[in-house]
Amino acid sequence: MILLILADVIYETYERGRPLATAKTYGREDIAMFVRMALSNKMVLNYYGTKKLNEGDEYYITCALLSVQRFELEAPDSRGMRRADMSKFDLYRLPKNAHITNAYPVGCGGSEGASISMVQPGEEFFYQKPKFNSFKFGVPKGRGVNTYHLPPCVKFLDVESTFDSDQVDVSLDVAYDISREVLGVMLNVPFFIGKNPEDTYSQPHAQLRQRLTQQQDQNPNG
Amino acid sequence: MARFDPLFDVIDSLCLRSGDILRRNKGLYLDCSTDVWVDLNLTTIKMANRQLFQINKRTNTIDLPSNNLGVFSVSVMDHRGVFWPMWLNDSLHRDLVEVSAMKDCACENKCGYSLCNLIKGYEAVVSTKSDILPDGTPVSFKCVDRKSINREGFLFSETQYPQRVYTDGVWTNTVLHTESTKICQVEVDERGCVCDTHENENLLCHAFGIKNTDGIPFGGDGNSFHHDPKVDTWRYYANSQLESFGVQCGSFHNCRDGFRNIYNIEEGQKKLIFPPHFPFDKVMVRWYSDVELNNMQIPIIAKQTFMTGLQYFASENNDKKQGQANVYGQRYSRQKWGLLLELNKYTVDEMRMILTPPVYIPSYIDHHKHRERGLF
Repeated sequence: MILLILADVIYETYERGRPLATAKTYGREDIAMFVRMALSNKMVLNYYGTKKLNEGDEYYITCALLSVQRFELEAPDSRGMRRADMSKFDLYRLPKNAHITNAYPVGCGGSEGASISMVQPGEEFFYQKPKFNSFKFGVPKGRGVNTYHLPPCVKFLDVESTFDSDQVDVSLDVAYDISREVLGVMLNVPFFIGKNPEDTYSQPHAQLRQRLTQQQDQNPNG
Repeated sequence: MARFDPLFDVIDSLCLRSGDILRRNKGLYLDCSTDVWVDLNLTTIKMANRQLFQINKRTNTIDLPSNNLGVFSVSVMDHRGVFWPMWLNDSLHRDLVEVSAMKDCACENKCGYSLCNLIKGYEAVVSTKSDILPDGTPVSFKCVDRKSINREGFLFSETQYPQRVYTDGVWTNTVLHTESTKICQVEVDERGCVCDTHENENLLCHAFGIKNTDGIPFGGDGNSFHHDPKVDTWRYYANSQLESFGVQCGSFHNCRDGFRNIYNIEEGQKKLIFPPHFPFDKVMVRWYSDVELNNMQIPIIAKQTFMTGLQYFASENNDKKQGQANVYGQRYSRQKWGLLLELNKYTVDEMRMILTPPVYIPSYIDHHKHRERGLF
């Protein structure tokens, strides 16, 4: 299901229990923001979970969130650095900049072909010598990517990353975890409080599971 | 070593195989690439440039390129364009014996034919040729002369030289021209490998200007060779026409002991110095070069060793990766040794047979018996 529908389901669940929860009120946008925060948190936990598998770094967890956006590259500065400003988009960030999987230079009569490499902040110092002129790379800094050694004919950068959007796809298992996180931890709604709620057989839990399953069945492709 | 992979592809392979999907270590591996390549090249692979240099007759020297790492062989070229070996200066400790063209790995099919190996291991000859542009500006081109063979057995010679372009009879430009010439056709097997037959050897040697079948002594100067009265003044000697053919293809050459027509290397390793009476205008120098990352090509046969070397160099100086560094170091050492054996299979096998023959051969000659008993 998409993120906005999940937010609606949680909002409805919250509304049913609101008189019991608190006198204050949250709107749909507030709930959507909670959902985003919970989703981001879930991604980071999953990232560390996969790191323990001892099978190398795996990034299947980010599949559903990945999309490609095109950014114009600014004019080079005195060091030849050209920046792609991504401030108009928000990201689900992962440790070690793992949220950026690929970045393709565009221009020179089509595409530059291979993706450029991302290095960690500070590492770019070592690759600014003439020896590395053929090494095209980028450094995620702030809300953008600083690129180096790209030819002048490259005008854009296609960045594949975990961009936030209302249409982000959330699987049923993750949706259920997020619902319990938002309702139980962030909003303290009765019957959902804590990591291990006291009664998962209660009516609110059943209704939540039913609504999530319905949404998944109605929109199997998100 | 007929197939190569670009360095950037090798590093991408290493990232994929080591689980570094996002290629975060690519820069680190690139930084180690030069060190690993120099280490492998100087000790195991021994791939070199083969370049013609014009001797400065006023100083009897040539300037070596700035990216030169070491010189190990110098040859001369006669008036017909045939290369003849020079004896190494045995007082120069930096001279390295190099055997790349004699290696049996030049053919991708590992056929084991000497001729096939020599032709496919043929090293291109690089030279700088100069001309002028229509406006009188001097222009120089880096020209490459190479020879190759196709699956049908046709031997081709490719030569590059400056050519003046005329439009409507008016000289408009000077460009680098590549000319391809079909030299001869030799017998090949079903895989396209050149068979070791007497006819093939004669065809190829004649195509390369080698026409003496009974060993080739030569001497004199650039215009007088064997059968010349002055041949005794110099003491080059090749045992067979196949050995001479190997020299044309770039392999190490043997000369008679005692030949002292030496070259020398300047203390700063920047120049080659020749005797004052040196009769040739050009010399062929084989030298190791420092390669830029963008131009670095890794032989397929050495790819695995090179990747292990990258992992070893990348972890060796990291205190947190000493355990990995030990493992990679041992693995790198083993793979380098294996690569050396693979590249020098026949040479090593011959040495083994000489040093430790597998069977005892009894002798019925009297004085041999005495030697065995320690009486001689």
